[in-house]
Amino acid sequence: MEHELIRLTRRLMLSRRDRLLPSCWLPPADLYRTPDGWLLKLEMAGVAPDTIAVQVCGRSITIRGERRDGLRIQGHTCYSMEIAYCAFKRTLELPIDLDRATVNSEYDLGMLVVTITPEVRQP
Amino acid sequence: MNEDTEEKLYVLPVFPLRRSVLFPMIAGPFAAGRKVSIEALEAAASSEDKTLITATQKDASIDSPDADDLHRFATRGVVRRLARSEETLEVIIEGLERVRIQSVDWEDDRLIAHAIPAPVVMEPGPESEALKREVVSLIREFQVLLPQLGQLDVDEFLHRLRDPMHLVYLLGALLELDFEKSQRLLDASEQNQAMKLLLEYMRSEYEILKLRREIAGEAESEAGREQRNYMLRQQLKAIQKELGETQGGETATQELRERLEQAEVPDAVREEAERELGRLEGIPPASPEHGVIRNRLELILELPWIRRTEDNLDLARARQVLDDDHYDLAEIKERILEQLAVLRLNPEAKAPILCFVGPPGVGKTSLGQSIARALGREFERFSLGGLRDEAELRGHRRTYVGAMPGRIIQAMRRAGSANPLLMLDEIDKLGQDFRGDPASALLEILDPAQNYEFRDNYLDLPFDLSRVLFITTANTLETVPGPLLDRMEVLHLSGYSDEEKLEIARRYILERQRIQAGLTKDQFRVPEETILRVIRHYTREAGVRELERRIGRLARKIALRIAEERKIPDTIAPELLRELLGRERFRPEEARKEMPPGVATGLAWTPTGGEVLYVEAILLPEEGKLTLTGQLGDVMKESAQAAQNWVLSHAARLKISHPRAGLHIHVPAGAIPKDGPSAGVTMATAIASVYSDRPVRGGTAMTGEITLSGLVLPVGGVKEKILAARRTGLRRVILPRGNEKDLDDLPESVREEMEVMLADRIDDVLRMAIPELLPEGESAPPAESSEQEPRAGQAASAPSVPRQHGDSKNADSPGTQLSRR
Repeated sequence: MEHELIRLTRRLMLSRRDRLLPSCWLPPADLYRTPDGWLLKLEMAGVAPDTIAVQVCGRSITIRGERRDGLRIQGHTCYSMEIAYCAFKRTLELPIDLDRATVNSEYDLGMLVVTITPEVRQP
Repeated sequence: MNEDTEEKLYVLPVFPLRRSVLFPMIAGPFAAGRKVSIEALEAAASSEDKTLITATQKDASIDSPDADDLHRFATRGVVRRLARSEETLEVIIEGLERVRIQSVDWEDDRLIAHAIPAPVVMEPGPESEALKREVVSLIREFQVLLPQLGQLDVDEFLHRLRDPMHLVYLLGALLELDFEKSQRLLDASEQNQAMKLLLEYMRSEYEILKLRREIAGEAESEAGREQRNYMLRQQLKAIQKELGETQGGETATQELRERLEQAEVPDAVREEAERELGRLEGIPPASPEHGVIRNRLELILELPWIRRTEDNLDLARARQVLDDDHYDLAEIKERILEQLAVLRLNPEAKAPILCFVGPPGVGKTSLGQSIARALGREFERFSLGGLRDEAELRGHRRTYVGAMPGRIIQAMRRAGSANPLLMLDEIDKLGQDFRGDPASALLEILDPAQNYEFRDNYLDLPFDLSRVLFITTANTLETVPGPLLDRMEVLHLSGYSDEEKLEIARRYILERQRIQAGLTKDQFRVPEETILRVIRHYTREAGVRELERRIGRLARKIALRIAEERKIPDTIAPELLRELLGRERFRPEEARKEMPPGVATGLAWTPTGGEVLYVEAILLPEEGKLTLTGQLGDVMKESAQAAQNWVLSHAARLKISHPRAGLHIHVPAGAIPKDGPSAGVTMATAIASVYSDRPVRGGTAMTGEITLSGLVLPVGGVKEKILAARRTGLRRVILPRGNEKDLDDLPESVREEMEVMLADRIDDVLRMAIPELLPEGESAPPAESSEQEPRAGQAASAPSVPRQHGDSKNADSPGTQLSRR
């Protein structure tokens, strides 16, 4: 038990550096090159789709949203918590001009999939 | 604080903080143990957005705070992580925005607050810009001192922090301000006010940090080195262990401890040794202190505190050993046997402290060795010659690098028994200067009343020297300080006569050198005449060292011939010496053939034996002048004046024709300093001879001190003087009657050969030395010696003349001395 306690404390202790910049939850993202353009995947399990907003500006694409805890049972108590419930904002840069591209997003299986098809093929 | 919506009202659980403040936009770890805290966290964790309000208590000691106990300005935060252990919840909460609590109420066990957002008022403008820059420059200064800040790229960082308050809160958290200051920072509702507050805190923190650095820097460099050495030593130990070289400190101290358990030491010493062992165990073996303590412990363990050797008290055997090793020296052997007898009757008797005085090579040191052998004691010797530093004898204090115990303790350690025979050679050649006076240290060592508690500076424990038989040796007693001399029993060894040397050579030297050269008895046969020739023509010394070397050389020459397979003589005849040893080194000194009036023959004593010296006197044309030359000392000059005045006062009787003539006395050789009173009679004779113009009888030497009333006082070194006279071919010697007893020291052969005449008064001397100067039987002042002058031959029982002139007092002082170059 003693060991467990120490381990927990260690895990929870934030390094000083972590405290410098409060790293608001950033959903992990994958970016693929496809024959037609680009495919962007973001893991955002538990995020209500209606809170998600995708916005493009020049070469950057920004995904905002907020994860709130929707799975609650009356009278439960939290025993441990690692999932971050908060608003997030993720910005990525792509080597194409997104203003002149078609951007579609759909939410499936806890993933947000964004397909980007440029109007003009970029080298 | 992103959206500036209309007045929001939050109703959230309150997580009361005791000694910390959560700033907006900053995450921090917290632990909750109180019921109210756990309730708040659980409520937050169960909510949809996981938010709560952290409010700092005004008084940290309160367990269940009410509205009034909480600061009004607080932070809305979100629980980012939560973990549970036994009693407590550990959480990381990220501050979201600054809020103002409007009311706080208890709901069951929960503290619920109503709060509204309270964003800090932004005041863009030159002032806020100036403040910001000041903060940045302070950050850079901090960066020098705080390494964890050093990695931070300040410019990039500032660029990313759009909100200036983010910077303020971040620094507030980083500085680890105490919670009161932090709360004040949170209370600040305007940007510039907050900035100013932050600057103030930063400056004071900076000063504190700088001071701490200075203090720590000093302590750290010391501690750091220690730490490093320790680490290295541990590694070394591990390496040694790996290599199987495990003779590390522990085994060594273990071994010392075992030795201590077995050692025979007094209780006080054991206690001290235990104490030292304890200290030793606490010190790493590589430290210099370790070596110092260990050396001392080893010394303590090796010293013979109690261990003694059993004395061999068999008198017959002791006598046999002494006789085997040394020829004659009857007086000293007798003294040793006396001591043996005493020890037999009283085993606890204090050991005497003896001092052997005599010329070099007469066997003082080897006598010590054979005494040790006769007694069955351990023998140790060291020389004090040239010793100047008292610490050499008594040791250095252990505080000095390379400190060692003194020679005495070292000798005891070598001897390994508490009652060895310790020989201190050349005690007359002790140095003495500003570094100390070793003679004074010897005073303690050589005093049986004090030396049972001799304390060496290095050993620093009382050591009992009272069982040690000390024997010191000296060539002369002149330079031995009085108090030191007083502690010792002086035994004189005089020089050897030719006959004695012959005997020594026959008994000891020949045999020793023959064996040394690997010759058989048949190969090395040396007849007596040859030995005598070596003694007379190849050596001139009081002892037998040179003689031994010469005979050794002789043996080696024979060995060489055998090795070269040349023919060797059956016996070494005296004629062969020239071939074997080269030409004769010394011709026997011959007495002066010509003895014009004014020349008289005297005898002198030197530390290496006796010498013949001449006193020459001539008359000068000027009146009454006395000139003295020949490097004469004060005593000798005075003695010359006394002699002249005595002669002149008896001018009439001595039939002196020119009593007013000046006088010059010279004593060759002119370059050798001479001093002492024993040439008095020689001077008087020379002066009487020159004034009366009658020559001194040839072949007559004389010695003795004179007084103005005409008495002749005894002098020392008689044996050496007579031997010197004999060597020179003088056959008549005039001695003070007070020295009659010394004639016993002379070998029989010498006594037979020499004509010794004893004198009470100068008149007697003159009558013996200058024939026809004074009529026989006539004595100057009629009162005293009424007897006519006896021609006292071989110490024949002389008529009883009163011998009141302190013979014992003067007998030991050597009279006229020559200092040899």
